[in-house]
Amino acid sequence: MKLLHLFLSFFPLTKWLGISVMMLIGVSGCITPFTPNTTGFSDLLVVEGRMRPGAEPAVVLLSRSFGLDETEATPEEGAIVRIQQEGGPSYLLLPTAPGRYESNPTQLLPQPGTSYRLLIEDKAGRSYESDWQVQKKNTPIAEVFAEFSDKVLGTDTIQGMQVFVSANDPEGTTRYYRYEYEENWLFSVPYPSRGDWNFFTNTYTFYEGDSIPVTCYGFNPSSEIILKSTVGLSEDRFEGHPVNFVSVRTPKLSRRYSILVRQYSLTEDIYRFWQNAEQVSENVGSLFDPVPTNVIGNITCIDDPNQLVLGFFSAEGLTEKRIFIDRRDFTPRVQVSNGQDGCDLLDFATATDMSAHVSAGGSFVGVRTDFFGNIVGFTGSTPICSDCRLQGTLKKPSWWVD
Amino acid sequence: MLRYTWLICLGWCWCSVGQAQEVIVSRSLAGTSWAAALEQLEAAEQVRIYIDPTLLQEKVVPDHATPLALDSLLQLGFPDIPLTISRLGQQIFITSTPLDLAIRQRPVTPAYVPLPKATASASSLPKIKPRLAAEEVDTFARVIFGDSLRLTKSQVTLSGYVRAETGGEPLAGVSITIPVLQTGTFSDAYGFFSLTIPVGEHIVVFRSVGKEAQPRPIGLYSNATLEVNLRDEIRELDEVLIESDRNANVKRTQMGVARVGIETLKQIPALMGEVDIIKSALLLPGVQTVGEGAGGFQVRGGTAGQNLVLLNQAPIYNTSHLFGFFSVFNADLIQRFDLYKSGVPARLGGRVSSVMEVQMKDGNKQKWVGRLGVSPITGRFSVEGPLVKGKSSLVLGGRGSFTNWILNRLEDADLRNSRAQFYDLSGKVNWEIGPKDRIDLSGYFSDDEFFLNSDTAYDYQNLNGALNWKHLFNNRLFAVSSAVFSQYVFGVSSESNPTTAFRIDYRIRHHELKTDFTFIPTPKHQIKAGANLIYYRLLPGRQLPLSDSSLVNGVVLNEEQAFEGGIYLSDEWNINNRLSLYGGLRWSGFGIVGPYEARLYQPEQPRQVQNILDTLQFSGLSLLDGYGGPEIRFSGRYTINENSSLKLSYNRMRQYLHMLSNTTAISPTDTWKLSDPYIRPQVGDQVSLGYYRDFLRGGLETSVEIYGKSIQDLIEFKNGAQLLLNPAVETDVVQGRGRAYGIECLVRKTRGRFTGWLSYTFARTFVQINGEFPDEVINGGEYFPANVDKPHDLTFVANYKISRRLSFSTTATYSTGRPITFPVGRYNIGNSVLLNYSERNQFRVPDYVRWDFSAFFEGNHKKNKFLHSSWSFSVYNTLGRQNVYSIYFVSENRRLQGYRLSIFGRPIPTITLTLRHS
Repeated sequence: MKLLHLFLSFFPLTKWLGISVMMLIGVSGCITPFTPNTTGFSDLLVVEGRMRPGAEPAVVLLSRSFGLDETEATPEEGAIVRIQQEGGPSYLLLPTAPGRYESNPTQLLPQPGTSYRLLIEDKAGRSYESDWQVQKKNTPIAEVFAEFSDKVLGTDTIQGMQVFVSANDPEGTTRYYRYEYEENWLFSVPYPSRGDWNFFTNTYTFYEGDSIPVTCYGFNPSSEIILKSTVGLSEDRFEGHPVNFVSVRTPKLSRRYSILVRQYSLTEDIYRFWQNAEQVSENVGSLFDPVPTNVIGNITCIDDPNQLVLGFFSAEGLTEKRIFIDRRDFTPRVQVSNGQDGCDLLDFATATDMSAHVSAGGSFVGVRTDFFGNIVGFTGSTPICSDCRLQGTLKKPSWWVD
Repeated sequence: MLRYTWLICLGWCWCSVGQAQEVIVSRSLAGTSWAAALEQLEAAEQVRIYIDPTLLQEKVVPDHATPLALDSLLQLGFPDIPLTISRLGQQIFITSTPLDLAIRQRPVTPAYVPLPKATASASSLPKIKPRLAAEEVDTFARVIFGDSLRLTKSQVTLSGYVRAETGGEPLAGVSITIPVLQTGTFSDAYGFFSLTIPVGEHIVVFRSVGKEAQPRPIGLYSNATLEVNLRDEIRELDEVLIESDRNANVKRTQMGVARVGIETLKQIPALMGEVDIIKSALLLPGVQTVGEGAGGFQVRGGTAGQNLVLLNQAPIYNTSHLFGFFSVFNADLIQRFDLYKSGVPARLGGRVSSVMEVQMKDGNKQKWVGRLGVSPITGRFSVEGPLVKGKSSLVLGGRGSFTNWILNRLEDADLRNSRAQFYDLSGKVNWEIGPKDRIDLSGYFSDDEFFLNSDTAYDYQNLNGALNWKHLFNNRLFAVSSAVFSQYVFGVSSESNPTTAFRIDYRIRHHELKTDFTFIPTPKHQIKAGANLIYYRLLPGRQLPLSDSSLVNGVVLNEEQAFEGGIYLSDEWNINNRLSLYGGLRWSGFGIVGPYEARLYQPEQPRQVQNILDTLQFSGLSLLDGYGGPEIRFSGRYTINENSSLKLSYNRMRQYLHMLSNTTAISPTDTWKLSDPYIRPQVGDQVSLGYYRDFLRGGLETSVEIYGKSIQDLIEFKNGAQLLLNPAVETDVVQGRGRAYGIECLVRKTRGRFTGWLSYTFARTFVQINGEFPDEVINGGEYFPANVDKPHDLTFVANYKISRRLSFSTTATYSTGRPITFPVGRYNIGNSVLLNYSERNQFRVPDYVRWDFSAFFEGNHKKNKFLHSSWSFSVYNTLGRQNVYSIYFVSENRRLQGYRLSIFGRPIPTITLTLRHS
């Protein structure tokens, strides 16, 4: 063993051992961005059909898939879209916007436990149909709550609020859950701009009192796929499934934060669709991930069964719940970012200097006056520090409770 | 160099050599040359005289009295050389040292070879004109069995055991050849060999990697037993042989077989200093991997689950340590491996692609030896020594990773909160019960555990053991019988959340009995026959709650049981010097036994869970559903001339046990599934043709092999298949056809300071999944490239020995990138952007290039040193090229970003120290 120690002390082993193991596990810097050339592949019909019990209309969105280098989907117009009730009538959905088709909610009243399917005829005359879907009910969310906790990200440990959701269906018929959320938060900028500076004329106009961009409401919808199933559990319930983590390093928690959690109860087909979608879009690339494949939905082209149709028709249930989190809800010892990091207030002696700053992409904050109210200079900053509208909106959401 | 006295164990037919009645010279031979004089004497006395002709030089017989005893005459002629005369029947040996001690004698020249009476034809006359250098031959004594003048038959059998001189352990895979006759054989796992050859004078050459070659002059005039001790060549390292037999390239009937000895393995640059059997096998033509660092291997377009890996006869179901970066074999305890890519002998079966037989070494039978080694990833030890000196020995070894210790010290919190470790233990005991019976018992255990900064932990274990008994009925008939047990288990557990804490378990147990008989009736035939029976017991999956508060429902899939059996008969027939044929017929069968649940699906409907009509229960041991059929194995060799031959082989293989894996690389949650009423056995057929040519007297071997292969009912998976804990896994499995073809070219230098090989392979492999229903069709039912389809592959391996203590090795590989499926479009569903993928495997990752380098340094070898040390320094991926393992896409802020993942994106240097006490 002595020899071993000698050996170890002789070489600075531990250091590069670490590097080796990091590489072994595949988290070192061996991941490089890459853009493949995949142009020239055909576009496919994409169907997103949803209906749920209640007064809202069933909505079917039709579009075409788009290339990796494109940003927007083309809506599919001119299609005939119907929803058929098993052993019952068919209901026509009418276009309300390009690619958007809605049912008349007074005619089509989805009943939980009843089977429905979607029938589409596109403008080229090809027919598509979905599998029969048994309408799910609107299962209420049991609870949405948040806990202050740590999250490890790489070499970093971040503090923040972890938002959880709990569900409980005593009837045991929901089983498959998917979640979406919408975050809103109140935040301020440190050096709000008092007005607009015109650098052609070296003049300014003050804003009206309530339109000074000091406090705004930020907004962010979820884009990740959040799934939970109680299949395999003796009861159709779970507690504390993580939905979203809100870091203290963003201004989201600096004043007041609100999260709306939407709970979809899904059929097994649609749950599997989302599960596969999650696998191929978020889990691909590590050593043990499955070979990526297309996510096959429940819609087929009747005229050509080999023709791939993307998307699904889901007879789902939807309920939602909102909670608010205040800065004072957690310990004040935790430092929460207020968005002031890297913000400086700059002084300009003359209007010409001020104009130069603004024309270079800076922002105008206000004027400096002496004791008698004479203008002795101007102040400026960067836009992000003085205009909250860049990261949110001044308009308070109608549902917001202060 | 000081040579040992060769210990020759004498067979039952050995007549001892001694002083006998004198030869009297009755008339003067003065003035004639000694050679002429001895010839006259031979004629007069009706004897054969053997003498080193160089002794005689140009001398003439001096004046002498008559009558005079021959020894007195010799004394007169060679006063300064004390010559001894030994007589055996009518054979007289004139030697400078007594014959019954260590003899250094040159072989007799052809002029002195007695003609065996029974072999009258000139063409079959064995000529002792060895192609071996004279100085190699002169150190071995000629041994004579039987009496050349009292021959009873023209063909006799030479059999015996080959052992290591230092440890006394039997040596497997030693080639025993008679170059002049172009015949030979290999010793088996017990060191036993049996060779039937014409009577006469022969030079029998014993060769093994890491041992000094031993050419033995043998006068064979009756059946004989010979024990041969081969001496270690560890201090010389002068030959890196992949195939131990000179000219075996050309002469073996078998083709598509690669045999690699551990001495070769140890010189190939290794990742992190871990000598790795499977990673080394990847350097052989036709053996590939889906990605750097991925576990397992693919042979000629097969999948990893189509390879049978046997360690001392016992199958290993998971060959990977640490996510597949290392293989489960501890190289310190391995003697060699054989990989059958084609021409699989009839005694082996059960997988359609290949069979890899790994042989653990035997312990030293003379003294205790210990070894200790350290590499950046593992520490390892091994001890071996005699239990009963010369009769029984033990070898025991283990290694363990200190990856956890390293991970604990890293700054990256993801890594610091991760765990990954493994260890393995292996051992073997052998006994020589009597001259006809040998037994060995081996065991192996490996354990892997890891979790990667998440609450899901994985663990898996291999456990196996084998008891092998070799019995010699006579030196033409022997049998090896084995009892084998093997178990593979894995588990997935999650504990952090008490309400969802669970553990999933999977287990497969393999119990096997088998026996193999070998019968050598005449030198032209080697007949083998045998049978095996496997009993499988599987737990396909079980999920249990881990705590009292856990809400997880227990899911226990029913245990499955089955029998798989095979019987076979084969004959290797050397028709003449030019043509030899191997024909084998194996019949294998498979049957599930109850209790068993079979689901009944709606006819004319896709096999989906919603179409299950009924579940039928079968109980008891009634044979439910069976499969079976013949497997033909054939190979033939036609020798064009001494240096070139043509070989052809065909074989059919059946596979009843399937690996279920829908990941690209082998993963620790891959399960094995028995064939059942819905999942049919896979059947593979392969035809291959090869041309072999040696240059430089076998010092440079070249070969070209082409093959074509087809597989029926290979296993693929429906999109989004759920394979673990799926009670109706047949609903996610589809079966299709596979086809592969390729050409493999190899140039290999086997002798000298510079050894190594260069191989080029062109190979294609395709899969077709064209089921009845849309979810059973992939890529529109057309053939598409399989995951391992890499058309071009170029490999260079070289070893250069500077001195006895210093050598350098390098390997370089190039291959086409593997096929991959790319997203070709995107679409919006709700707030999510999803990907529309191309048809399966329509794109490729960039080509793969890697260069490794290593230097191997032996410490000095003073004989009585307490510890012998050796150092190796290696650099893996010297070029630091970021070879792409996979390309993947992640949606970030509603945008799609592609990434390339490289596993070893920079050079990885390693120093390894090995200490050996002996």
